[in-house]
Amino acid sequence: MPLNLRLLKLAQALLWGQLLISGQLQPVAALGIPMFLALSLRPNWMQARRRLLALTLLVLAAWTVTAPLLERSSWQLSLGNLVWLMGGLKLLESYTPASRRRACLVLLIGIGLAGSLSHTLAASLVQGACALCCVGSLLDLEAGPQPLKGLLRRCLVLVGVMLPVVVAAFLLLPRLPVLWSLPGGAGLGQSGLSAELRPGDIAQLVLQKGMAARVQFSGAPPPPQERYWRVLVHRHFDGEVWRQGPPPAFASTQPSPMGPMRERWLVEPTRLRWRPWSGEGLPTDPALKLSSTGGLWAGTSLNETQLYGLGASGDGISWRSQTPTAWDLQLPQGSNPKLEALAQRWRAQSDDPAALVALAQRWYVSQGFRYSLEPGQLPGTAPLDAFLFERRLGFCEHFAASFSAFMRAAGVPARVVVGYQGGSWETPLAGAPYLLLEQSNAHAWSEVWLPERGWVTVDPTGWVVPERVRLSLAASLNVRERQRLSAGAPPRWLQGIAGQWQGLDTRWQLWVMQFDSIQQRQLLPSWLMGDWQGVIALLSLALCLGGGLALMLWLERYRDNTDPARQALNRCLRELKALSPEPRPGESLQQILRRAGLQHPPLEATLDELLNLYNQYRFGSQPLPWSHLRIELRALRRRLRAFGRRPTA
Amino acid sequence: MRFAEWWQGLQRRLSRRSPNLQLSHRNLYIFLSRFGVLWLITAAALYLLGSQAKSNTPVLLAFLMLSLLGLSLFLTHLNLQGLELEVQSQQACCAGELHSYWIQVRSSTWRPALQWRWLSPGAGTKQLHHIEPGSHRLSLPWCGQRRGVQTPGRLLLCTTAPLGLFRCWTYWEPPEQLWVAPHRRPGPVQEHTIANAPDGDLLDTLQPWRPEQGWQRVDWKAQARGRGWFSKNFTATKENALWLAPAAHRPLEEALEHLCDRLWRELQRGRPTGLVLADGTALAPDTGNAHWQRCLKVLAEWPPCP
Repeated sequence: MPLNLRLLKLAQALLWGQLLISGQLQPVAALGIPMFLALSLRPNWMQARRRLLALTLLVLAAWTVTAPLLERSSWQLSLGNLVWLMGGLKLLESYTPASRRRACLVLLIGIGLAGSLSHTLAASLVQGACALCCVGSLLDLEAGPQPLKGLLRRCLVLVGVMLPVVVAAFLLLPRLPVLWSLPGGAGLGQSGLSAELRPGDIAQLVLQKGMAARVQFSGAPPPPQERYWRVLVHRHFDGEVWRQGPPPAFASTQPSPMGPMRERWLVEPTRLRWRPWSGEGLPTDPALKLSSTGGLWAGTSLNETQLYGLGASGDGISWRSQTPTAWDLQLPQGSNPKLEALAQRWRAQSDDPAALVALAQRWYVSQGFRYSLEPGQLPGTAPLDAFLFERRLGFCEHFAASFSAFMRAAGVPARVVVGYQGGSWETPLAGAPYLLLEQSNAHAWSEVWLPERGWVTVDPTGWVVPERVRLSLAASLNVRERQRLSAGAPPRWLQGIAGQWQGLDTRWQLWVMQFDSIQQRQLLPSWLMGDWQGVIALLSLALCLGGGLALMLWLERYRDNTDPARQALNRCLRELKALSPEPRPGESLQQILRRAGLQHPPLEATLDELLNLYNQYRFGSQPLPWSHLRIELRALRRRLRAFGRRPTA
Repeated sequence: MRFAEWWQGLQRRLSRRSPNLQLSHRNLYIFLSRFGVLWLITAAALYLLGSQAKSNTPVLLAFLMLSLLGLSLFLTHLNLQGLELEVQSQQACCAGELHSYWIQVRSSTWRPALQWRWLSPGAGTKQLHHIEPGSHRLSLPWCGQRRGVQTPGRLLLCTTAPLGLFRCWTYWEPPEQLWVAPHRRPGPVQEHTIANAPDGDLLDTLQPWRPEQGWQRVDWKAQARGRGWFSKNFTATKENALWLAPAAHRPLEEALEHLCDRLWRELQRGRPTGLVLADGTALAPDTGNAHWQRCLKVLAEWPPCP
């Protein structure tokens, strides 16, 4: 099998592996592509056009039937699967150079589509390797059979000298605006909080492995007990489930952030249309809006990693000072009678909201609540009564839901906020430190309205298990649950490497994958972004292209394209160059060596040996093995070098 | 009709008729290949996909493809630029047979993927994976369709290296003439055999005379005519010499084709064979490649123009 075809198959296999790991392959493509690769090992099979046509029609029919049936399929994913399948089929019938070139183009489109769906550093590296294989295949198609090492070298040089041009184009060329909005699919979100608060939701979420977001701060990060990252605000309670309630209001004019960026958020795909944030500052991206309840509204679910920043807020009215409405006091009467009765007793003791919060805190601390991720199912009627007065076993959402209900029953406006709490502070060797939020950081807490302070965060989970807030989720669990949480986690040494890799990935995301026209404006000086941007970009590109071309020609000039045996001989002759004059035009190897031997009689035997070995390898009736010649020529070269370095009188 | 004339005129102007040619920007032409056009469209599609889907990977891939396209423009041109071509002396050949047309190629660098093609109908193509630095004698397959003295026509040299995105080409019309003898076809010829010369030797060639050779072998007739000092070389023969002439009552071209074939067969056997043609042109019986070449030249241009 020619090297160019092998390279194309390698690219196809690598791409398939990357897509399989990132979960973007539909069943037809997941099974079809390896089948095509296996079939292509039988060259006779692919020459039967009828079979190929039947297979193509079968694959197309299977894709047409299955693609719309899959819930998670978006147009981009379905198109990608079709292109990857077509790439595999094209390879199957690529037995002429022209068809292999076209197969290479289909593969490149497939790589581009894969790149638009997965942005991680690992995926990008695999996609880059696939593109490199395609370029190598094209080089081999043109220059004919050649050793893999030489081809790889040529390929790396060709792509390497062009990298400055790619970087210059990426940084300087004006970005094309979005001409039309592409229809989104059902969402590829792997992570995300639930839109409703039901017992068990977060418990399942925290057991999921995976990253939720990464945050970089312009200054020092907030202390662990202040790391609350809000996403959803639940105001409607029906006695069992907390929901978001009525649509929140948005300011008619979005205020602009002032000063430098305080936080940079890199959020992983999610099905929610709300984005996490600290609750302080204003978004720099005009597509994000602040709601009156303190949510960051994006309007769409997230299919790929998103970057946004938060700047300092001005003197505008904060969401914390938005006066509560009737929704913040809404509580179904008689849904949890014991809870309501206790709240009424507290109300009788004091009508000061702050005092009522303090009473609730004392009560929670004194009742011997325990924290567990497996508290069991609560009954359908009066679930909070069962939790508070019978089982006393739960996790954050039980505490937050019950406390907010207590406050509402006592006449204090309250709501439940769902988001993330804590996070691990990562300091990678490469790149700025960041706060890593994982799915296990999912959390629920309460907010109560204190007339003199506005909406205040109250976390009843922290009263019961302070370790949950100060340290981590694992610190608040018993041994069995801790083992369950850490099941499947990599060893500590691997976690260190994974942390560093994530640091590199963060840098890749921030610098490359999320680089857009906004960042371009921030990065480049203002004089470069004016009317002359296009001219300067083109001049820079021409400069980089010229430099790359000059570098390539320089490298080409000093390249030895001869076969390995001749290269080994040339190395020996180079040692001889210092000892004898230049070879004359038309002089044979024998004549050169004889002349050198006459000039330096002690070398005569060595040079005779060199001539005999080389002639035997080239013309001998029983050719010398290359490995043997290599060793012998290396030894002779050492002898020649030693002779050249001998002390002279 | 007018377009055809204009096109032929343009082609004539594009081709260089000279014994040697150094390739430079003056005689090289370059344009996107079909694959290059597809490559450009793919890059544009990826850029559009990336910018509309707000994804940078397709954008980066598109930039890489476009930058490789830009680099290929220069590399493909440089792959031919500076190459020196020079025509070599040619041997005579028969019509309808692939023949080696020799040229000398000088290159200062390693050049991959060169394609050579004669534009005359039926002529051959040669694909070279690469040319090493230095001077090389290169044989290009060429096939003459008709008898006569002729030039091989226009040679197209093109390359698409390194990636096949651009096609760079040049035309060259080497002026070195070729003697193309008739097509070899078995058939009747007139023949008669003569006994060997008494000394059993046949005159083969004349070579410059050296004193060591003695006076016996001096070609006195040539010396008397003022052509200089030459010595006569003889070869021993074992068989009787054969004289061949075109068959009577046959069309001229057909008779010459049969004669050419028979001559080739006899010389392959090593039998001294001579030619006698209708106007008295004759070549004495002899063997060897030099004699075969002389015969081919005679057959190529006979009957001579008045």
